[in-house]
Amino acid sequence: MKKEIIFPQEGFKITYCKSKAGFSVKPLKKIRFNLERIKNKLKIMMDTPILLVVDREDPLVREEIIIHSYGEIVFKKQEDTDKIAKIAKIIYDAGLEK
Amino acid sequence: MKGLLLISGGIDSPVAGYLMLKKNIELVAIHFDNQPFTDDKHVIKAKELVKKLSSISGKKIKMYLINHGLNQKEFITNCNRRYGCVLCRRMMFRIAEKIALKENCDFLVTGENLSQVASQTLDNLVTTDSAVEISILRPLLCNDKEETIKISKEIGLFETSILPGICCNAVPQNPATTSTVELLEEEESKLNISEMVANAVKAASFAEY
Repeated sequence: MKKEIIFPQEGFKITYCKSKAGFSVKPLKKIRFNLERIKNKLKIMMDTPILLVVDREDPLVREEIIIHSYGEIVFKKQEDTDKIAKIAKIIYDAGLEK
Repeated sequence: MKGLLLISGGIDSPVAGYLMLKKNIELVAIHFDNQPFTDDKHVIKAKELVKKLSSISGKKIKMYLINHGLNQKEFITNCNRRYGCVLCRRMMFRIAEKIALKENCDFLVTGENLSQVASQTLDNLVTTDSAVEISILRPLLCNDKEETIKISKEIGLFETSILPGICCNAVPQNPATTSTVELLEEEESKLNISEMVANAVKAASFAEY
């Protein structure tokens, strides 16, 4: 993959996470997710005030990912950037106040 | 003498363990699993590194696995975020101390290195120490990283240590580089620390490698 893939319409980019062990989605500008709204949309396995861990059995996402309230989403296993973008869009749509 | 090695799966702690083995210190190992704030690769690496240390020493090494993710959740939910890493380390030391007593270990061994990360500044090392009574040996405290990497390569641990794993997502964006015992105790008073330690020890699993 290139250093990063930018999705201007969706307002995020896909990049490697710090250790390069997985992919990370980061917002293009400073944002704040409404985690309550995401919790209503997805099956959550760990719920904290600043981040959520999505259960791998969630029917929409189907894998364990970490969603930070500041807009970063960490994918632990997924390597398909098309799938990552699709999942990130679901989360951004759910988590951002419209 | 016998030490309980806190092993992470990175470069430093296995080298610290090796240096103790070289001095004929018997080792038991303990790994703190931070899932779901990270992935499973750190556990896999830690087990592999213990196997390698065991093959170097010619003796099997018992390794404890602690589910630390639930403790992380408590710190994130209830405490000042900036102190997350120091609170996490104090908890690891408390749990390790209990296991050390159970295993008749004389001290804890860590790969900590002065000022390498925010939780290992002199201030934070001192406040971490104050959580336990057992002695803590830090064979790499003043090493340059390059010295540690050199040893790691020489003994065949390096390639395993640098395998990628997802970083701990419980780490705060701005971790505190300084802390006081009073301040940390105030944060910990928001939690039932003794119950958290007891639960972690009760749920610990172990195997010999």
